[in-house]
This record gives sequence, structure tokens and C-alpha cells, in this order.
Amino acid sequence: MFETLVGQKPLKKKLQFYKESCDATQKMPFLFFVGAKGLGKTEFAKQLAKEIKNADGSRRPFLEINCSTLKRVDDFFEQVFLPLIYDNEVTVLFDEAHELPKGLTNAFLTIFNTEKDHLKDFNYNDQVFTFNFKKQSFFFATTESDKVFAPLRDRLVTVDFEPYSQEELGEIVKLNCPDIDFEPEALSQIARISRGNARSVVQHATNHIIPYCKKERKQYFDSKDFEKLKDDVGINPLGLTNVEKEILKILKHKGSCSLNMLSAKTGMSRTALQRDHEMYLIKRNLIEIDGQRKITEEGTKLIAKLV
Amino acid sequence: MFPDMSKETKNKNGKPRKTGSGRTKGATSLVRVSLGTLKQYLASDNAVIPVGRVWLRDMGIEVAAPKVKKIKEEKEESTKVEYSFTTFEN
Repeated sequence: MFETLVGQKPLKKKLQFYKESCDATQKMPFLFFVGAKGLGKTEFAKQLAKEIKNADGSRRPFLEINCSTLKRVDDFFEQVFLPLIYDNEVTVLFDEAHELPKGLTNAFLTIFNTEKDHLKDFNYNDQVFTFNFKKQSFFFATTESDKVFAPLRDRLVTVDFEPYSQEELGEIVKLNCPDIDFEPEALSQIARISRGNARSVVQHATNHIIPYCKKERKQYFDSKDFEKLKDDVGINPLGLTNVEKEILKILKHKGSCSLNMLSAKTGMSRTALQRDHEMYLIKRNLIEIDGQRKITEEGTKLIAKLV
Repeated sequence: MFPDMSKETKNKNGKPRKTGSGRTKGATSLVRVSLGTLKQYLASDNAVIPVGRVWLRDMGIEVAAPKVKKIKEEKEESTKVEYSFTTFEN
């Protein structure tokens, strides 16, 4: 189980336990996959779903729903539940669960409030919808667990992810480039620009490394290749985006700055700056926030190298 | 008159209240004015002047019930739900 997925050992162990419990009881807990983007929430949910067996021993199908497209309770029951879930054996993943509409969240509070019984009848618009938790397993996944209504969260079992180590990210690169041999240093360099994000290394492997090696007719990728590739596709050190580079330049020039000022200078919204850029810059110890935004010594050194 | 700045007011959470917040002591939305003064400015008997609902009620004058605007409930239209359905080989 999970042979094709790298890292996340405690999580794998936990999921293995739930899978074996499910084999014994036919009931899978309602799992809530929580973690930063690109850590593999959907992939782990899918791999687990693949291992869940139907009563006849066949593999249970997997239904992945993007919650941002679920606008009304009626849509869920009419377009999803009745044709795909009702009386079927299926595993359902509600991806981007923080986007669930209020009405459906309330419905789920009733549906997923199960004690020992595996059947749950939900009355809605004079109709009864029966959920059978021995036939149907339900997973939820999100990056923003705080935005999921707390009473719903309480009904789910949280499965959270750890960040990937550089070695693990290197392993992911190798798995995705099966025909290429790597110099260990080149793998570390690729891992360093991935921002700790497994999806990002997969993207680098698929969109950059494989095409580069094919173009150059190479089956071995070393540090020199990485330097050339970095230059060709404009990859910044530590995988910084150009906005982050700009933020560092502004802070170096001005000394310190407010979020409003940064927003005005970069043309990015305050929320986007905080959520998508500042978090990473702080994590890499390139800036610090003490009322005002300030560049650190490390940030100053890095920007001096870049400019 | 300026409020006494030496005495610090605290919010419920114990933090000091920001200066300038809240109503200035003595400030009210209504003021007293004699009917004579008002008459000097109101040429017609049909002139409409806004007065406090509470004052009117205290004077025993019947007040029409305020018009309540009904907010129309917007009915969301059905949208296509995006999903993917995967079957695994046995």
C-alpha cells in the first residue's frame, strides 16, 4: 500500500490502520485530509480509496468532487447522490472542503452524525436519502481547515501531513523521471527550489527536466545541467517567485515597510502578499515582521547575489 | 471642553480604549428649540419637519408604523457540479 508515494510514514501507518479496520468492520471513518498545498492530500486519498474493497472483493470506485462547484443542496442530491452514490459502493472525496456551501454543511452535520449504525436516513424536501456507510466511504480534503464549520470538523477524523524532507523531494523527482540518472547534488538543488512542495517537484520533473534531457539527448542530469535549466526557464534561488524577489528588493531599498506600502509597490493585494509570498519568505528566514516588514541578513545576502 | 485624559478607560478585555472613540459627553442628536423660532423659518403650515418618534408618542400623537421593506430572497440557480469518477482495475 502507498508504494508509489514517498515519505509521510506516520500518515501511511495511520491510513493502513484505517484500511485494515475497514476490512474487518466494512466501515471506514470519515477522514479529513489536512495539509498545505502540494503535499499530496488528494493522491493519498485516492491511493487509500484504491485499497478499499467492495463486498464481492472488487475495488471500490472513487468519486472526487470539487466543492467549489457545489452551490446548492439540491445540486448535490440531484447531480451526485442519486446517480452516483445512492445504493452504490463508492468512495467519495470532497476536495476543497472549505468551499462547501452552508446548506450542505448543515445537511452533512446530520448525515455524518452517526453512532453505531451504518445506515443514515436524511430527510430533505419530503424525500428520504439513505446513506449506507458500509457501502460508501467519505473523505474530505482542504488546505484551509479553519474555514470548515467546526461541528462538521468534529465529526471527521483528521489526517494531517508533514513537510517533505529534501531527500524525499529528491526521491519524488527520481520517481517521476524513471529514465534519467541524477547527480545527488543536482537532486538536492531541485529539492531546494521546490518550496517543500511535492507537486512543485513533479511539475519541475515533467515540465522542465524530462524535456531538457530529451532536447539535450542526455540520460544523466548533474549540477551543470541544473544551472543551465535554471537560466533557461528563469528559476530563482530557493524557488522564489519574481514577486518575492521584488519584495526583497523593496525592503532592501526602504529598510522597512508596511504591508499597505508593499501592496502599493508590488500591485498585489494585501491578502495575496500575506498568504502566497510573505509566509514563504518568513519560513526561509529572508524577512521578518515586527509591526513593519524588514529584510533579514540572509535576505540581504540573497538579493545582493540576485541583482 | 476636553475629556480628562489622565483617567484611562479600559475595554472589557482589559486593553486601554482608543482616544476619540465613543460619544462625546453631553452630545445628543436632538436639541431644544422654541416653537416661535421654528415658526420664523417655516413659511407654510404644510411644511414637513422631522421629529423624534419617541417624542411624538410621548405627546400622545399617533405614529404610523414604519414601512418595512421586504428583502427578496434570491434563489440561486442550479449549476453543474464538477466531479471525476475513477474505477480501478482489479
